[in-house]
Amino acid sequence: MNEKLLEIKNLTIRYHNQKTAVEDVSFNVPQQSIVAIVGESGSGKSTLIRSIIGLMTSGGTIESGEIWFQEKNLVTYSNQEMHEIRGNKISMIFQDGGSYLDSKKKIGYQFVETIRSHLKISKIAAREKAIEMLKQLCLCDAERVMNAYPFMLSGGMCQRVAIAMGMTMNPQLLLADEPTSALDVTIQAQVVRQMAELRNDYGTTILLVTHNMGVAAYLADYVVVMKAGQLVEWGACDQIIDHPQDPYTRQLLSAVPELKVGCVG
Amino acid sequence: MDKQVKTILKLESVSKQYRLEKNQNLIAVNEVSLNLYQGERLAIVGESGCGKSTLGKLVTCIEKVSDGKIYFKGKDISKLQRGQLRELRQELQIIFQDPFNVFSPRMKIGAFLNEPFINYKKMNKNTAREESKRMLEAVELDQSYLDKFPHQLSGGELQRVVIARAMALNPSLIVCDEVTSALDVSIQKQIIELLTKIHQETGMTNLFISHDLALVQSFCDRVVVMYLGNIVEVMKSDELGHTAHHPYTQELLNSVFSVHGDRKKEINVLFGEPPSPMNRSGGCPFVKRCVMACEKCLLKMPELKKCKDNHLIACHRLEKCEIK
Ligand SMILES: Nc1ncnc2c1ncn2[C@@H]1O[C@H](COP(=O)(O)OP(=O)(O)OP(=O)(O)O)[C@@H](O)[C@H]1O
Ligand SMILES: Nc1ncnc2c1ncn2[C@@H]1O[C@H](COP(=O)(O)OP(=O)(O)OP(=O)(O)O)[C@@H](O)[C@H]1O
Ligand SMILES: [Mg+2]
Ligand SMILES: [Mg+2]
Repeated sequence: MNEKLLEIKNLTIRYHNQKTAVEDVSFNVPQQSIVAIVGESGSGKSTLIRSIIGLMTSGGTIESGEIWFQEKNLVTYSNQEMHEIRGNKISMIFQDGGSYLDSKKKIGYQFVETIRSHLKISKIAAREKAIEMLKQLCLCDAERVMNAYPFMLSGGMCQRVAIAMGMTMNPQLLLADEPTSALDVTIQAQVVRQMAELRNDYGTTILLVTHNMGVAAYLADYVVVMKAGQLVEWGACDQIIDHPQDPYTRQLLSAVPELKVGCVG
Repeated sequence: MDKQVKTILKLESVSKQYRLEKNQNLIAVNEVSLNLYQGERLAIVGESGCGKSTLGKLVTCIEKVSDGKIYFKGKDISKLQRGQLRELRQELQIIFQDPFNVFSPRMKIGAFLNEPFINYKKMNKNTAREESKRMLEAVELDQSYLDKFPHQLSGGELQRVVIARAMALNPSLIVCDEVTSALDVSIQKQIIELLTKIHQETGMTNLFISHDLALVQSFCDRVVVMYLGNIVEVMKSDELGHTAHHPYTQELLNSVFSVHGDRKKEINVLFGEPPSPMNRSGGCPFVKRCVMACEKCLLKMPELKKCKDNHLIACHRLEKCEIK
């Protein structure tokens, strides 16, 4: 196994004083690998992935455990230190990507601002960079998208804008929470290819949450399966998909509707 | 589906245009004609941005048509004013793609669920709360959720609450816009079973917008494939896998990631750029990306025509349906 870029150690997260949302979870993400987290809705996938960059929703606190990234324990980081890592070394595509866009500002403005908050380049250069990225995600109408307010775009278009924003920074670690859930299959294929290329061309390590077992099976090197806040099993993709050990993983795999194609009669 | 099919919803050449800056026009839905039968589960699939949600909003009168007519139970609903919509709202429900946008952050789940019972059924708070509990049960969430705030729920939990509320008034037509895309597959299965149960019990008609072809295949009766605002193919859903013939539908079928598929396989990516809904050419919307395109396709838009029973297709090359 390659060197680890990220290591989660006995992580436990709780919201207020309710039951734990993530309980004693440990796994690691090797350098330049793609790791997929799959599992039950409400099992703490978003909580876990958001905790890495310190952006849990209100009331969430890390009760115990460590998050090691490049030899540093992020759990001990101050807000200031975290802020510097976010966007530069680690970027995140949120599950409800579209709703992270400001509804009162045009896409272009937001995109350019985001780029310029991390890179010292001119507005024009930032705009070009943004347009190029949008085009790679099948938003060929990039000019129109840049001039639009979020409500003028379809669900899948907003999601791709969010992906584009996450990808332009060339982060070392990309955290992606359900990045393709709103996309049709042809565009999903394009986005999946884009992520694979990001890893191959720039060595980006990707940790993604997905409900799409097909996408996980295709894209990931390692798969982490979660249920009710706990990690039920994790390992190499082939092993988890083809030889699942835990009954829950088997149940999950058997619930996947498969497309029936081919001639009948 | 043959005997005594009643049409519950009829679309006649429905178009929706949006005006953009600099006097540009965007055609989101282009002359769509379609019948929806009582009790039917009709799927709409197609490329992101092809106008599926817009169509759903037109049907539920959230957006006004630019052209054409929509008849619901024989009555033209395309020109209704705000006041007249209220009644219709009970009969026509829509569930959106993104459960996160539906809630106002400071409203508890209980209040959200009570709303339709209080507003439409004129129930008092306590009775409404009892009803809300029942609705939550139906989507397999316990009553402790009534006192939670939206940000305390996961994506899947939120979507189940949204479904519960849409079902509250027992609508006769429900538009499901990507309702399961935020859910894991086992909960998706439960939701589909729930929708199936509701369908069997109430005969509710369902316009089911989805990206998941396998799901559509197993859950729906018919499938409509859209591309750039147009319907390009309509068929029975159990035939999707083997009689789909429009080149775009073929591409869709080829792009699915299968769990046990070949992981070394090159990803099939549709060549060419998705066309812009702003500057439409006169020809077939799919022409630039179609492997079968000929000159006629560049010049003339193909009409949606019957190629055999229960199968419509808009393609010059397949018009006569020389499909074996
Ligand atoms: N701010 C919060 N306060 C209280 N509880 C919360 C909060 N955010 C999430 N939870 C709870 O924590 C659990 C895990 O939520 P999380 O969003 O991490 O799940 P998930 O695995 O991402 O689910 P999904 O697949 O549906 O998105 C859920 O039961 C949820 O209700
Ligand atoms: N209010 C609006 N103003 C301008 N353009 C709009 C508006 N609403 C939608 N559009 C445009 O109409 C087209 C169709 O959008 P729609 O939301 O119907 O797509 P969709 O098929 O539902 O896509 P997805 O699968 O991504 O949800 C898109 O190009 C979108 O940008
Ligand atoms: Mg989540
Ligand atoms: Mg949509």
